[in-house]
Amino acid sequence: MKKRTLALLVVLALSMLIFVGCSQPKSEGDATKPSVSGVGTAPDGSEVAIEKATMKFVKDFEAGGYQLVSTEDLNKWIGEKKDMIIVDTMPADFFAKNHIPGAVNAELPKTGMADATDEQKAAFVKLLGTDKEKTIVVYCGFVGCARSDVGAVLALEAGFKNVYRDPGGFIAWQEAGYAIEK
Amino acid sequence: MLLRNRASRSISYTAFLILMLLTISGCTKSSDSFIEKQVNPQIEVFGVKLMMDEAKVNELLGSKGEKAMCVYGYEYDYTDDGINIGYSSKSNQVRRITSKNPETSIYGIKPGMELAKAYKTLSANGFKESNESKYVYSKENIIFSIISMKSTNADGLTIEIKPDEK
Repeated sequence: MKKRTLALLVVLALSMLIFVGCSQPKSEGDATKPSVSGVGTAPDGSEVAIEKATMKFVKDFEAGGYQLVSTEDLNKWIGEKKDMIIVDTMPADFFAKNHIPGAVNAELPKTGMADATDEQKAAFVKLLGTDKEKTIVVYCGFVGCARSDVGAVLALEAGFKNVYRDPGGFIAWQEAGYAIEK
Repeated sequence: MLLRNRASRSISYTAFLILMLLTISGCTKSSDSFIEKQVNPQIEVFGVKLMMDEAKVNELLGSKGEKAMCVYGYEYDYTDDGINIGYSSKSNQVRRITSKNPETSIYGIKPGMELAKAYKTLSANGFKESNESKYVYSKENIIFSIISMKSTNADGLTIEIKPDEK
């Protein structure tokens, strides 16, 4: 009888182990959120990475010929209901999860214009409409992301005159604590 | 009495063994098993496989490529080899492999192959076209994307683990 009880206890203990061992770790949402998202140009704070991204950004900006709008000003523009088109150039699955309110999506390559397919270019330009005077704002993930540069250049090439790139992109928007649309 | 004791002991041992087996098999994520057993053998990109440790990739590719950050981690671009390897920042393991190198293949699809042939191969391997793009296919937690510059050929291939998974 004692052995049977012991066997039962062993079975129970192992069952508990199975449940504990197989349970999934807490999702990210359960964890204490850091003040910054841990994603971006240099999540580890590396000055080397920041400088590298800055140099590339400035080079792209100078060659691109577009204008810049800060995350803070873009938020103001949205609050003022400025007549503009905001284009999120991140992949569709990322856009579906969260984006800047009112933005539309057209994925562009992060590696530069040379990697933009004909279909991607056509889909992006189609979203901009026909009013060439309209303000166009393009953003992607963060300062080190080049998708928005590709978009801003494409918009200029398509004849749009008021083209802005938001350098900080979605991560800066999120870290600023502004409203997010899903 | 002796027989009853033996029987009881046998039952205990058997139960213990079964539970150990259940513990080992049950705790291995089925998605990881799918990647290791079914997906990775189909990837012929200089030996690089999904879920491979960064150190192992460096060993295989000889040197580090150009590092860049992504929203789901980080990546190394090997321009000369025409490949780009993305890593999960949580596990430091390969999450994505992109290749434009015709000497590589994934599921037998080589960069440069006709789109129609690539689609056929993907369907034959159980991948389903996504609702968002005709260039994106998926199977379980794996996404296969085709980069097509002129809508005629598969100029580049990307195989990746869905971002939430790794």
